[in-house]
Amino acid sequence: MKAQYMIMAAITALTITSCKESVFLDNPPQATVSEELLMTPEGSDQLCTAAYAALMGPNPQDWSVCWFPVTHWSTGSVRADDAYKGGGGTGDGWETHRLETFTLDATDGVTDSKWYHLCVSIQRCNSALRVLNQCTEEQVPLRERRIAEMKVLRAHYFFELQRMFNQIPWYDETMDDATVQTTPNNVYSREELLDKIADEIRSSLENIPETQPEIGRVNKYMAKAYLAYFSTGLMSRIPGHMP
Amino acid sequence: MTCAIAFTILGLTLHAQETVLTVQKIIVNGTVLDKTYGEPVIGAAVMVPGTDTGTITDIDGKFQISITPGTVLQFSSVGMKTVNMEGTDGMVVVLEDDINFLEEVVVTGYMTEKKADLTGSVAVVKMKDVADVPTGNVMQALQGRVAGMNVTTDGTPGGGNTSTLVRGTTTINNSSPLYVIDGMPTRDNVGSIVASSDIESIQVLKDASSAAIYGAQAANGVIIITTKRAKKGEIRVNFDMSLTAQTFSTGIDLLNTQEWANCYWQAYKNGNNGNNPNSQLFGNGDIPVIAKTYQSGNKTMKLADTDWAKEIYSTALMQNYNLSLSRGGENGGSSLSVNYMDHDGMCRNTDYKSFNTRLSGDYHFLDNKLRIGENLAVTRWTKHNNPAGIEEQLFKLMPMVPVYAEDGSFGGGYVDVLNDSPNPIRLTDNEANNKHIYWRIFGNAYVEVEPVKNLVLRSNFGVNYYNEENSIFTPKWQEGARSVNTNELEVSNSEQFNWIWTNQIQYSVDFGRNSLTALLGMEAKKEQFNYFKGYGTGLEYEELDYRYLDSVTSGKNVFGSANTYSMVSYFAKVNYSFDNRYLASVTVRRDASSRFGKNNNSGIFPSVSLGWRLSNEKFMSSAKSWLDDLKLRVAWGINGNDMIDNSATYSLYRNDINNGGYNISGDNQNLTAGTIRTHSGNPYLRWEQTMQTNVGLDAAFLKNRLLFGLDLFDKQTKDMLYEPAYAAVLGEGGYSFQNVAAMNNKGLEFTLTWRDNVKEFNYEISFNGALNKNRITELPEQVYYTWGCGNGDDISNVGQALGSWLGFKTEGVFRSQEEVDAYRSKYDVQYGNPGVGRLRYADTNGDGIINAKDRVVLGSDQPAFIGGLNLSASWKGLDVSLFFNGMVRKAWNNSKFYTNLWAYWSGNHSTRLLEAYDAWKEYERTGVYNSNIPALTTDGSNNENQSSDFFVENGSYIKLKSMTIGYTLPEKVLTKCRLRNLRVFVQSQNLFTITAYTGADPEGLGYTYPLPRTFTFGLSIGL
Repeated sequence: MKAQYMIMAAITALTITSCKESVFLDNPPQATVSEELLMTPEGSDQLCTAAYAALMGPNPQDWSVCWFPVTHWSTGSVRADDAYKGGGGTGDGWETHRLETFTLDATDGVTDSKWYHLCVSIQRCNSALRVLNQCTEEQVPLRERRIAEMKVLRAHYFFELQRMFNQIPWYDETMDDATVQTTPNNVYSREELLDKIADEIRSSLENIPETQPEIGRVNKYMAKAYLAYFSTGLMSRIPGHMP
Repeated sequence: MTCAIAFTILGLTLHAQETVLTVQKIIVNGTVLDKTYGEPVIGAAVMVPGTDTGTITDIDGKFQISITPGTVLQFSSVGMKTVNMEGTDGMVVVLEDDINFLEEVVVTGYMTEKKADLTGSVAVVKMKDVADVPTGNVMQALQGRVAGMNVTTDGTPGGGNTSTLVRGTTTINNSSPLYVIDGMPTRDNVGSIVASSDIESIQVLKDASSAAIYGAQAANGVIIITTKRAKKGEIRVNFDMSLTAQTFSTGIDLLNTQEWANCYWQAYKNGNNGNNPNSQLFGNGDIPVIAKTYQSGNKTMKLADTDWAKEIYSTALMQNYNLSLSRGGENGGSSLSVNYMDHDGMCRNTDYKSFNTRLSGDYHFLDNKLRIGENLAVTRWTKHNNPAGIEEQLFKLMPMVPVYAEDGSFGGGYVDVLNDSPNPIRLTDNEANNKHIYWRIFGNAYVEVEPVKNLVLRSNFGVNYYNEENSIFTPKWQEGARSVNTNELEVSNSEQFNWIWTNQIQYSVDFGRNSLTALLGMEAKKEQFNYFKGYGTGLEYEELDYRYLDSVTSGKNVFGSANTYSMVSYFAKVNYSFDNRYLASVTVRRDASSRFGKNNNSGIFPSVSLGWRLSNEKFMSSAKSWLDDLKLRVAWGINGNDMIDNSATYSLYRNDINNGGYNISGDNQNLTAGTIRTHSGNPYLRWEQTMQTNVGLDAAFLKNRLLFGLDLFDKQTKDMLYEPAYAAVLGEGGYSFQNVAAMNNKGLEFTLTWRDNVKEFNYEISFNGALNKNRITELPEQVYYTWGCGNGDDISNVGQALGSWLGFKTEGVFRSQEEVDAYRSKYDVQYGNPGVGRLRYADTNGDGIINAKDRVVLGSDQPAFIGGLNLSASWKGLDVSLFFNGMVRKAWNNSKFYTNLWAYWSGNHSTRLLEAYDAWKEYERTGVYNSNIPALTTDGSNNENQSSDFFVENGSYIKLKSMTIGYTLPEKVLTKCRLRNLRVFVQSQNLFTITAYTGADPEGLGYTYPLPRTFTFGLSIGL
């Protein structure tokens, strides 16, 4: 008799402890921002701020601000004789020297870092867009506006990528990591890419106000100026293409 | 007449019988003692063989029996060898343990089993072999004592820097084994939980089937440690102490000031077309002239001849004291032990002090149907650490730099040829005042119920609490012109709390010749960690009592974080044996862990093993005279490895103002922080799995005097966790853990023991060894040719061992200009700059060009063979033992940068370079450079610092690891002093090493805290 009770007790103990297994095993990470926290107005705004921060670098504290800056000192001014590289001779900053003398090759780590910076910038816009797409108007009141801002920023980063590397892959926030990594870079020609970039800006225009409470954000005039640059300045130089 | 004779004979016979009938019996009083401790044996049987006459000894081991004089009495007790002795009043009989290894019991997962019935590969450590080794961490004493276990350690006080590998490196991630201490699994440092003198036994579960019951934690092997418990009917008091002197014996001779200057002059001239160097310390003439002083900032330093190793390393004392009390009664027993260790390190101002106390008890009630028990250990320890990198700094510091400047401030200064190495006296002085305080509470309580015979229900709850507090203060300092004018204080605290709750049911039944044991159980555990840190600078005063965070005036910063881990498991095991000849065991465990993706967080780990005791078969009965036991076993199983970050499956983001901040308000004043991704999650992440097959053989010959064991194994680890490189388009935080990569370990382990005695001289020779071959078998496509020793082109680490090196092959040095010219004309030299005395690179691919394509895989330092040899003997009260251990492997000798090369190291160099100095002088006369050491030069264009077989040496060695001589006072003297035991011993460790390795210590590669040569005196008293 006693044995039977014992066995029953043991089995009960075993089953009780197994009931709450999924709760017991749920340990979300602590002291970091998780994906739940991001799905809020504050969270999505901060992802947008990070996308804006990419205009300065990104990660200007960690990474070099002289060898591949957003100001195009090395890729623009030095290459075009607008500025001298300087320093301690041709060995000092040899990658920029190679840029200057048009003898660049694939061993240049500086160019790879520039590519990575711009991809990070685009990824930050995509991260913000992913979260904003999933939020509703109630959760994030300025949702439409933020989406438009991010699309304009992303178009800018794609433009930078395109004008330095020419053949680039085109990807957006609806593609998952695996698809992004295998997207080929020769799907669109240069003209098609520039058209797509201009379309991104054009379609966002209606949701962007003329002035923003925070001056640092994209506004209608900035977006329109960019479009003008495309249609009158840049595009007109491509033979056979009319804006 | 005949009648009279007949009657007389009858009468005589009757008389004779009467005489027999009336012979006096004597009362014999005696005592029965055991040989090991001289303790009385309670309940020993005292019999007259062949009769019913007999008695048993009482609680004092005494007996009384009535016998006829001259009768031989037989004395026996369970587990002891039977003794026959003629009965005389006042006799003392000594019984010794019958260590028949077939009866030996071992603790395996969650149950105890007879060693004879094991079907997996389990090694049992003989605690008496390591009991004399004074150490804070028992694992340190085990190198070379268990076949297949590789223990790497160094001289850090407390033995905390010890790592263990069972059967090779199992994974590219964390390969350390699981320790189970009194049923509580942990991966923490064993030395902080239990003192070596409290350990009763250690078992190593090496193969998949013996470890399978630990499922996802078992892939790297399981080490089971059981602590001493009170034995029934004993009251015991033990006091042990040892004093150890540690001496620094692994130094390398370095150049003094004059020698350094001479070498520098020659090197500079060779590297600068014969021009003299221009130095503030040595002038600019043709030969160096040592100046008297030099200036650094406003401090004057006198040029010295400092031997920095002597300033930092000195002989140090380690003291160890243990007191243990135990009392075993009718209904259970308890024991208390107190341990104190004060371990001064050889490195200046480093030490380890530990105080540990352990209280444990076992009690039974209701006619042994209900048993309860507990263990509780509390440890508090403090340390002072060696400053980071100091071992390497001691080779970097120049002999010219004095310890103190003329005005008493710290010597140094980044001036002229001197480099920027910090003054180690200053660094060690700083550390002396820092605080590192640790606490650990480790314990468990259990309840066991046996309602029906052989049905045992057990519930065990265990707790492991750890607390660490650090206070690190860096004062303002000045070394000549270099100074830092702010002091800084960092105070941190971490806490870890783990609990585990295990419930199990075990049932054993014997029917006929069959024997079955079944175990069913569940286990839940949780581990919580949190930490915080405060930092500030600018304390006004630097007095010790002022060094608290309230005193900081600027630079205030705070940090803190936490993480949690939990696991739920179910397990079952069945052991079956038929007629003691056929054995089988099946284990299954299911583990679900919070570390893995919700889609994949559980795994099932099965194992099967079989055994066949050949020696019990009828057809082997003719061999019974010389073969005592022969068992074959085969085992297969899958274990898991759960050691990854607690948050590995999550995508993580960080709010960052530095890298994600933007002036969004446009006021040119304030940055707003942004959120950036730091890690990508993988909800499909699953366990690393190790599948192991083991075939083994255990044999005993010649009345258990010769023992032999052999194991062959094949271990495949797959789904190893790794964060592979990813395409840049993914952006930042694209690293995510994937299950890729696979590794294989194949090996052989053997143990051979011979023990015998010649009258009172007992001796034992025991040899164990293990061969292992490690290979990476799979890598993800993105890094197939770049990971590890890959060359980015056609050489991959797949098929090579973990940690393989890639480099050039060298063919000595160029001895004459003719050789250099011949080399240049034969090859198109695209790599290096050949010259006399320079390393000569080989054209390994035979294409006539010396370039990066000539690099090949140079091997790795994975040991090919690890072995140990123990020789021990005892005679009367004297015991002697010698232990040798050794390894066969290659080693990468990084110290060659300063022992055999000049150009690539801006610090001091070894006196070995004087051979190159003399060889160059001879070359200048004769045109031939006669040395294997490259010529001195400051010109590094021959790339001798790059990876080549110049740095690969034969790192094999044999060490006389320890030698012990002990003496135990004889029983007669002990009983007079009312002592149970008194033993003194002397011991020495790391006595000498035989090796071809030219670095400091082939056992401790790289710049580790040096392993000392030690001399110990120890004393052990038992009441």
